[in-house]
Amino acid sequence: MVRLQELARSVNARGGIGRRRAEYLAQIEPLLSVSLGDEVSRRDFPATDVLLRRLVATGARPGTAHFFQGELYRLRGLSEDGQRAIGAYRQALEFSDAPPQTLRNLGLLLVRSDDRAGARSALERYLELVPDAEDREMVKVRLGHIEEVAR
Amino acid sequence: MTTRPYAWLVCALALVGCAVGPPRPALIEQQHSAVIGGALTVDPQIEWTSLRAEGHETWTVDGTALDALVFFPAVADGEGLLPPPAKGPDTRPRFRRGMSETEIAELVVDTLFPGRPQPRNLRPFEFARKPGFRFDVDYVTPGGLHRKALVAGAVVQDRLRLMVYVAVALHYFAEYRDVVERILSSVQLH
Repeated sequence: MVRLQELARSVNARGGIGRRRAEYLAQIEPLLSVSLGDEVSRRDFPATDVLLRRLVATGARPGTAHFFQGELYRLRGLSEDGQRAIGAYRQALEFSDAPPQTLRNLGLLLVRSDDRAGARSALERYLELVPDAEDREMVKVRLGHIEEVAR
Repeated sequence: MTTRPYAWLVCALALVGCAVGPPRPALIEQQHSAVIGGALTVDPQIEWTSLRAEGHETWTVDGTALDALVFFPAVADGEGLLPPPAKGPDTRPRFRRGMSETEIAELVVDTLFPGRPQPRNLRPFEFARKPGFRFDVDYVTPGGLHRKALVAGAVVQDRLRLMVYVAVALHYFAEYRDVVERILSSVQLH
């Protein structure tokens, strides 16, 4: 405890954590998506939920943070989590740093909640944004199913 | 790189064995169709050694560390691909009815492969004469071994039917690739 207090005094004497926060965020930015993906896939949902809420509160990389909140809800799969995930993906899409997979995952959830127009729009935008997506052919099949049901 | 509790190599033996005791190897003969878990029928093409466990069956020629063909014949809604851990929290990814193929690929990768490799070339595929999917996986184990996998499956009658071929990239993956493709073409619902 004494050592931690010494470290805290030392950091504060150099201007505190906030002074170099932007520099820190710039350094970790290239790793953020991979790290958060690993974090969410651990399926320790309560701990990851706290981490993501803190990240959202900082305002740093808001599209990425909301996307991974959506991922957490989708993977956790509690009764209201589908709608929570849809909400989080939609929030993510309000920011330019939302990964393209936000559109795909939103579209696939909208298929399940029977919002065919929303699903089609999201999946088509995903294919426009990532024309060489690894799952392109599968997404096209999903779009085909949506068209069939609409007829 | 994340170490997963169900990572393929870490639990290679757990995959073929289970809490009920060591697996009993059985010979799969080339000339007879094989029934997997009472749910799938396949034509083995060559002789294999089979190791049966709860919910899945593994075939190998040279040993599961080198090549393994794993069948998950009927994963039900709410089940994981592998049995729950003997102790500790059960954080296994679960199959859910209505999952998209993208989510199933994620389930397979998260359960079986270390390091969260990305499923490659996820595409439509007829599995057991039903509309299904297939994809490829390319990854390096925590010990530095390059491995490749081919995954194919379909959801039929609300159950996930899956076949996974995984082998060391050097020599072994290619060695049985054509055989595995023929087996894949022979899969039928039992």
